[in-house]
Amino acid sequence: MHIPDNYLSPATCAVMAVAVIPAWVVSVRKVSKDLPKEKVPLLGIGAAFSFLIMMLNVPVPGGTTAHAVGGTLLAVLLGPYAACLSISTALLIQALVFGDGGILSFGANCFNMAFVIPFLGYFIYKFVKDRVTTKRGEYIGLAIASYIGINFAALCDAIEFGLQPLIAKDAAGLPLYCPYPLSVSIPAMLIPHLTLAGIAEAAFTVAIVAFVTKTSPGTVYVGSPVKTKPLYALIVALVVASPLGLLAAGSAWGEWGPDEIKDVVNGGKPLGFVPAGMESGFHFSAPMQDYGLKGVPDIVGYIISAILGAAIFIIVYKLLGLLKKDKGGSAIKAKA
Amino acid sequence: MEGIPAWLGFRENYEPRADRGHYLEKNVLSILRTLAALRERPGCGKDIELLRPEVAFISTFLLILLVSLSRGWFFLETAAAFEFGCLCLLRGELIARIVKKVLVAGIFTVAIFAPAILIGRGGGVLILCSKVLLAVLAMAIFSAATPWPSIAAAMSVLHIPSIFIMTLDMTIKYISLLGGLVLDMLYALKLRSVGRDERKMSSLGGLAGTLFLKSKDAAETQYQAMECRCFSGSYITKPRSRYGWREAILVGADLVMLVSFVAFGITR
Repeated sequence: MHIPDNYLSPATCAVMAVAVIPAWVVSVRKVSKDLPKEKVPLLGIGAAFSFLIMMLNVPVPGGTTAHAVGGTLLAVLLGPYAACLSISTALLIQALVFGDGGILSFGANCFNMAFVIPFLGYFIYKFVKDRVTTKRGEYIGLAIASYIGINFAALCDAIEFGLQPLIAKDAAGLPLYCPYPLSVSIPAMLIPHLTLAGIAEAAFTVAIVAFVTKTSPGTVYVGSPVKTKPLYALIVALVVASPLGLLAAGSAWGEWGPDEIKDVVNGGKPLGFVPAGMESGFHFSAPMQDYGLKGVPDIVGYIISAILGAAIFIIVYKLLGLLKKDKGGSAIKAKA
Repeated sequence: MEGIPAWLGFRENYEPRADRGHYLEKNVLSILRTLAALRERPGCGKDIELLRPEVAFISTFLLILLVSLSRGWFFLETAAAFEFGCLCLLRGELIARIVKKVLVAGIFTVAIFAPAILIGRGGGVLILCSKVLLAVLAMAIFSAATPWPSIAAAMSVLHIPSIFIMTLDMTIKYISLLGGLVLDMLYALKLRSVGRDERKMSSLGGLAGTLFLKSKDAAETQYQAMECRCFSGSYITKPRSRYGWREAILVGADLVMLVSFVAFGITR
């Protein structure tokens, strides 16, 4: 679901970036006002979760791959505003350090994964939760919310891809950026997400929320103790499991490199050309491209990337937690 | 009004000229900062801070050695993952202190290598800068997470000569003690100088001289006190706790680093 650079026209990238800015501004305001200082590091743990979950690719029909995002999961654990910031940070590090997702398309990726999934997922979850009385009903609501959340994001992704051939063409009428129209992009994006990625997202969300509610209830409920040890244990488990993402060979739909797209088969025939915008567009070379390191087995690179990524998020948010001003109550408590 | 000198009849508003040079303030502040850093007792019983210091010491030494010997990016990235993993387990305050130290080292290194980069010979500079940063980070994590008494204990377990440990121990204690003394003298000087004092710098000699005399006195008193308490100059440490799972994880991580260095780090 990470849109690389040069798949969207610069104009689309600009529009998507402008669209996501209000979400960031409101989220920053809400988080700095409502989230207590001691809970800020949880944002880092959340970002690490999302980062690791996105590394676990699942193979889908057609030879491509898809992954869960953990957007609804973070929205339920931290609130949708904090989730928006956590996932945006995860996407930023992925783009800058690991070359997953583009720099120009960062706004579009944030809109789809950091805005649509947490907010939509959270509101569906709230809607169901307020109408059921049992724990089981709540978990079913959670599964539905996360399933709809990721699929709606995939639809947004598909629309952004599919609009490109309509709005950006060269003199010969060939598309400059993503070459596939809506009739191709929507089924190509939605089928993998409706089948496997959506189910993976729902399964991850329910399993992790159930685990966290049991081991560290304070993360979800106000007034209960926040225990970080089980959360760290979960992160270590995800780091160890991250090479499973390598089992799914091939790129995700819409994430091919310029060298791959020419040979991508659609409707029985290969594309046969590289769109001009992709060939001569913006290219950024990340230090650890595709979570790999030169000259070492992929599995080693994947684990090192997973540890580095997760640690960076936790460190950054622990430092941000220091910057956040203490509210009167907690300052007095600290003194006592 | 008879009998009162005329000058007493005038109302005087004496406004001292603003002083130039803030050398007193600057000195006071820098001494306060050093003392605060020395007197602070880190290590309040959090996970990584509970590690047996000798294991942490050997691990840090090994890591710095491997980082310096490695010849390519692969091992440096592995070491970065290991160090970042350790760093994220510390408290926010300690992380902030470590990051500041590493940033200063980074700026310094880049400044030193700037001429090489400017004349176009910066090929290997990036790798060299990364090595410096990783070595400083490893050392900063060790020193921030290990309180001084534990470091001294670790040194004695590792059979480092007692005279060396004692010198270090005394130095740290006396920097703190004499620092307090200098601070008092600087305050005294500040209270006694009103307005612009052109000869303030000349008091520096007096300050240093007094400090020397005081430290000489303190050294003699210390020697006598140690003799009275039968201190023979050897540091004996009582075994505290047994090695536990924390140490096992660290040793395991060290082995992984060693294997990855032998497998990939020498060439890549």
